Amino acid sequence: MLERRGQAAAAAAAAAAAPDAVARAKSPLGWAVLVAGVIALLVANLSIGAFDVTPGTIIDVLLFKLGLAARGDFTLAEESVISVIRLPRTLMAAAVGAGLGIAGAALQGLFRNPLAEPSLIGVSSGAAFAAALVLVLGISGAFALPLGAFVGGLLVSVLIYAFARRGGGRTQMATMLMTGIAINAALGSAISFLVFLADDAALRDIAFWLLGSLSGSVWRLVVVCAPLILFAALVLTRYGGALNLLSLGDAEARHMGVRVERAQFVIVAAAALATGAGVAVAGIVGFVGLAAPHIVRLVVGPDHRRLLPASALAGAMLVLGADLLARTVVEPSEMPVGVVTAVFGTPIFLLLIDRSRRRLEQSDW
Amino acid sequence: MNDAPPPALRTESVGFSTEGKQLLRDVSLAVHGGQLVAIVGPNGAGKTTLLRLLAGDIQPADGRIYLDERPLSDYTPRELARRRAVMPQSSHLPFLFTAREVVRMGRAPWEGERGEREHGAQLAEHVMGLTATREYAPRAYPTLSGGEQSRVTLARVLAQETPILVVDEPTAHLDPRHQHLVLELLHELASEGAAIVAVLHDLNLAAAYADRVAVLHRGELVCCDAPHTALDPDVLRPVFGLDFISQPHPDGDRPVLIPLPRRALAEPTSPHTGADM
Repeated sequence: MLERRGQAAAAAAAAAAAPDAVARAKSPLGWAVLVAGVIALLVANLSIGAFDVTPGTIIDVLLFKLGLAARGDFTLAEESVISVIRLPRTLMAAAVGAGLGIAGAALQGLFRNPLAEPSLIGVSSGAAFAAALVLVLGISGAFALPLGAFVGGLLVSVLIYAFARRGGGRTQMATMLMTGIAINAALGSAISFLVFLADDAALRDIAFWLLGSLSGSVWRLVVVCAPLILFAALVLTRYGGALNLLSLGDAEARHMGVRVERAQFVIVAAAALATGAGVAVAGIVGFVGLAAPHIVRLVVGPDHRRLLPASALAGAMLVLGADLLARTVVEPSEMPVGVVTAVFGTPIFLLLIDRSRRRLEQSDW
Repeated sequence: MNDAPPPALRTESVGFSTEGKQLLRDVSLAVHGGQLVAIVGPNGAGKTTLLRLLAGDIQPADGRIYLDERPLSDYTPRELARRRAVMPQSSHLPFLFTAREVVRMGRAPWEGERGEREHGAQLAEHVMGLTATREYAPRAYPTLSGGEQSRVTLARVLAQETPILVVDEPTAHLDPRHQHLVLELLHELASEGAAIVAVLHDLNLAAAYADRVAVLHRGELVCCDAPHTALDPDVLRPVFGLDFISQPHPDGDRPVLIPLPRRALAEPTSPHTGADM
């Protein structure tokens, strides 16, 4: 009975997933909403800002820039705002969100824990520590910060994974989870120490980076990071079936033919890449990796073959929406996007958890 | 038995130890197609260890394990998944997959085969019928009771459509009616040719349904024979530290064991005295 209680608690957070297992369909409507939402937010992010650009003008500019149309009826200012500022930033927001969403969905499946999220594998804290180090040491160069953050994030993920594999050869997911929590705590202290050492300018930069911002999305970074995220996301979508089986247990998955060790390695590595490439440019955008999969389970159910791509779409929507608010709410200034995701995400998430708990209490536990 | 086909699953002098403790020693057990072999024994006798070895979850320290006369360690996970399925005692699922989705997961090793979509769907419905789980098919697995989950898990294992089954206490969470339903089903599958090895706690269920019973005691195989021989009170007394009376079942010739707990502590493990029977 105790066992079943524990299971109930674990499933509680996940229960937001399927409001009604019976009624849940493969819902083409749900997909339509996700895709339409992403497109609407892409257009909104390009069009709304310090001065607004109509969707028609956006299309004219894009076609012109792609060389598919002659120069249309738009000003030079409109052209440069779209092509130099808003388009790279919008694409980066979509890519960062998609990476966080799909990585979150994959890691929740891998750890069999609906509370898992990308930062648990150390990629965020590693990146944050490296970024803080770059800022405090005053290392200059246009790419020093994103490159340092990227390398730092991947290194810490590798470290945690290697530690969890030590001894047995088989990766214990519980060990990895605990290792991740311990390393995150240690790096958190280290970052605090760097903050203590930092001068005022570095302090401001660190704080801004830790809270997340897409204001540094220049083309040179976007063309490197977005393809990396896309690649990692494509790799992850190939593991949807394996993640379904892994959610029953490592041994169960192996008995059903999954190469468990290899799947675990690829999923952790791809999740680290999908997250790390985004964190390198945008800093730490919290909550998306946790919330996107939960919201999406309401629409498409728990099957990872659908959940992974849908979480990428939902993550993109969340970050696009959050960045739109971050840019516009306190115009002409900007809020850190991570603050927006937390402020709006937390109440929504608590609502979902509350709903799922009541649902479980109604069932025959 | 001279021209009998080779065993489907076989251990050869297998031993296993962990943290300096010898959990299994020199166990040679063969499971043939057409047989349901029950593994019985007291707590800590090594039943689960033997099962995990047979499932390939752990590697033996000594001896070898063969599946269809080929070393178990030579198989890829997918090859193995098409030859044998493993039923765990319980599967915890943190996400709200429906029972039907869980059963369909059992088809994973056959994904990509021609006609799998239709065949897999039909077979899933069929095995849910066999395990009396079709009425839960649309319900979320984590909201089912322990016994219901256990039968859904059996359905998932049967959906894997393998000639060899390794089963860990399939009746643990079940009420008497469903215990018999499940063991009748396993017995029937065996009589149709499947090789099934199952850990069973209940000696009377082993007596009623097994073709052969393997008795484990302190990591060693004491006896592996037909229920009448293996479940003889003289065999069981030293193993379980408990006296039994064996009687024929009123509906047939299988033995029924009645424990005599008052004599339990009289003679802990001294073998074969048979004193005041």
